[in-house]
Amino acid sequence: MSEAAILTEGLSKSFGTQAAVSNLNLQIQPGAVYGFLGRNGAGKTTTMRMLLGLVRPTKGKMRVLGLDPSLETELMRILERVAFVPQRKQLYGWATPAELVSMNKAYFPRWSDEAAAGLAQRLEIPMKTAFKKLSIGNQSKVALLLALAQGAEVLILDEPTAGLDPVMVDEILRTLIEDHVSQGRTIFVSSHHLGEVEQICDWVGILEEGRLLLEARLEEIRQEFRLVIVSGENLPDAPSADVVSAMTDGRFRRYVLAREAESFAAGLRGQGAAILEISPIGLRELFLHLVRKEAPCTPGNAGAKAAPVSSFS
Amino acid sequence: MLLHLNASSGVPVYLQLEAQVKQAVAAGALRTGEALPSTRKLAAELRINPNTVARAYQDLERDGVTRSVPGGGTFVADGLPGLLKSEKVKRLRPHARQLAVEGRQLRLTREETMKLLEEELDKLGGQP
Amino acid sequence: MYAWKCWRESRARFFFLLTMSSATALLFTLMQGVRERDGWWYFDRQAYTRDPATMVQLVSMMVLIGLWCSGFLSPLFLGATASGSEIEPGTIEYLWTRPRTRASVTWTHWCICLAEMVVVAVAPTYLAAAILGKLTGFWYFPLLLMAPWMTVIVGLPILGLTTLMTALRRSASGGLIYTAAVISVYVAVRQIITVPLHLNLPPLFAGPLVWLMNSTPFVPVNLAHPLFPWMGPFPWGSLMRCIFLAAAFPLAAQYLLKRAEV
Repeated sequence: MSEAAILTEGLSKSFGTQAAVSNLNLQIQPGAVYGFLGRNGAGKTTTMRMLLGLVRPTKGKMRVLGLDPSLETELMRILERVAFVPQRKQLYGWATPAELVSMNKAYFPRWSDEAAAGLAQRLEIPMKTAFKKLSIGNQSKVALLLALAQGAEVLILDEPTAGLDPVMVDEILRTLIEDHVSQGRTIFVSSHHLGEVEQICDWVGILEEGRLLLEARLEEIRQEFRLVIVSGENLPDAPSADVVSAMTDGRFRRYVLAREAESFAAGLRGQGAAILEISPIGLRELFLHLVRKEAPCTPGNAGAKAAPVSSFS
Repeated sequence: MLLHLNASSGVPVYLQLEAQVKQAVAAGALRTGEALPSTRKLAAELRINPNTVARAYQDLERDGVTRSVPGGGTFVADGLPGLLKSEKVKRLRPHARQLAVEGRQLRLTREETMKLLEEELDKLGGQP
Repeated sequence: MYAWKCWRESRARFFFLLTMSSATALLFTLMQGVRERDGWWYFDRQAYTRDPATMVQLVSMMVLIGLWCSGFLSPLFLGATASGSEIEPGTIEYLWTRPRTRASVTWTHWCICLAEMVVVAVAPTYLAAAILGKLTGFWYFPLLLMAPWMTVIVGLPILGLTTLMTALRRSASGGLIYTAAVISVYVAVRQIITVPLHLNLPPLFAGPLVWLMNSTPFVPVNLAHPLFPWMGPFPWGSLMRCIFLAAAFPLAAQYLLKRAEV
C-alpha cells in the first residue's frame, strides 16, 4: 500500500466556538481524483487551506505527500509539489496574465511553458490585459492556468469551475483528464458542479457542517447505492447500518441504501410495508438526500434537522 | 466520435461504453483488427476518468470482444474463435431469460416476443 | 519573482518620491542664483562664487530640510506594500502558497524598500551637492554627503513600523494610518510627559538630524584638524536606537505573519 497523497486523521478546526471541521478522516491515494462535496460553509475550503498551511488545525493530524504542513520546512517542500487554486481567485490587479505567468514560473522548476501557452490559448485568456480589468471568469481562468502548468504531483482545486461557461468547463475537464489524471497525478477538487464531479472523479466525500457524512467510490454509488421508497406504518428510522439516509416525504419514507437494497426491501416487505420503488441514485440526488434538512419522522416537528445515519463504505 | 455517453441513464459509464463497443462490433461498424482509441485519449474526449475507460476495456478483453497487443493498443478481436459453442450459449442464456420473463410480465404473446427479437437482429444487419 | 513584484508594485510611489525629492533639492540649490532683470528671470552665477562657504551652508541646510520630508515619507509609503497588506485584498492566498517562507517574503520586501529609500535620499542630495560644488567651486561638504545615509538609517525604524502595522492591520491603508497614528501619539505623549514626569523620551526621528543641524558650521574653520573637530558629540545613542528598532519592528512583523491565519 503506497503512501497516501493526502491524509488527515481526526482533523478539526474551530473558529472560536464555531466548529468548521470536525474529526475529519481522509485518505486520498496517489492518482485518485477525489471530489469533495458540501454546501457553502460546510468546511471544504477550510480543510483545503489547512492542508496548505494557510490555517492551523485545532486538533488532529494531516499529511500531504507524507509531509506535515504545520512544519514550515516541510510545508515548503509540499508547496513545491502541490498546485492550489483558491476559492477566491485574487491575483495582483496591476499585472497582466503574461506577467503573472513569468512571475509564477520562477518558483517551479517543473513549469511547462508549452503547457502554459497551450492552456492560455484553449482557455481564451487575454494575456496582455491587466488582471483587474479582466472579467471574473477570465480571472478564474488565469488562476487555473498558473496551477495547471506548474507540473505539480497533487492538485488541490477549490471550486475551479465556478463562474465559467460550459465550454470553458469542458476545456478544463479535458485538460485535467488528459494532462493530469492520465499522468497519475492526484486531484483533490471541491465543486458544486455535481455533474462534472460525477464524470471525472473516482471518489467522492460529502461534507456537512464540518463532518464527513459519506465517502464512497463513484462506481459503488452507481452500482450498489439504491433509493428505496416505501409506504407503510411504523417504518424504522435507521434499521440497518447499510442505510445512509432516511427521510419522510408525505406518506412515504425514502431510504438510501449503500448496499443490499434488495434484502432490506424484502425485510420491510416482511413487516407489511409496500415497496414502491428501488432505483439507482445519482450523485446529485444522493447529495441532496444527505445534506438537506427536512422534517424528521416524528410528527409535529417540521423544520427540525433530520438525523442522517452515516454509513462508511 | 463513435462512442458517447448518456449521463442521465442511470447505467454506469463503463457499462455504457462496453455496450456501445459490443453493439458497434456486432453491427459491423467496428471491424476485426480495427484499433480502439487509447484509454487516455478516449477518457479525455469523453471527459471521464481514465479508470472508467480502463475498466470497460478490461471487461471487453475478458469477454473476448477486444484484445490488447504488447506494446500498447486495443484492437477488435475476431469473433471469439476460442470459445466453445456451449460457452457462448451459456453467456447468452441470462439475457434470453430476462427477455422471456419481461415479455411474460408484460403479457406479450410468444409470437410478439419472438418478433421483437427478430426485429432487433434485422436492425443489426451484417451476418445472417 | 517576489522581489520583482515588490519593485513593480512600488514603482509608481518610488518615482513619485524620487521626483519630489529631486525637484526640491534642485530647486533649493538653483534658486539662490535666480534673479530678476528687465522683467525676466536670469541666472546669476556670481551669487555662488561671491561667498562660497556661506552659500554651501545655506543650501545644505535647505536641502537637509527637504531630505527630512522625503526621508520621513518614503519609508511610510514604501513600507505599506509589505506582505501583510496582501491579506485583505486576498492575494495572500497566492503568495503564501508559493514555496517561499513568510520570513523571506517579509525581508525581501524590506530590502527592496531599503534600496528604494537609499536612491530617493542619496541621488537628489548628491546631485544637488555636485551642482553646488560646480557652481561654487567649494567642494567640501562632508555632512551633506553623510546626511542622506543617516536619513536612511533613521527612516529604517519607520519602515519597520509600517511593515509591522501593515501586518497587524492586514492592509496597506490600515498600516499607513496606524503608523502615522503611532508616530503622532508618540510625539505628542513625549511632549506632554516631559513636564509632569520630567521624563525625556528619546526623539523618534530627530536625533541624528538635529545633530546634523546643530553641528555648526558645515564648513570647518581649520581644515588641518583631524576629522571633524567642530562637531558636537556623535549621536551614537540615537543611532543605536534606530538600528535596534529597525531590526525589532520587522522581526515582530515576521513573528506576527508566521502565526497569521488567512
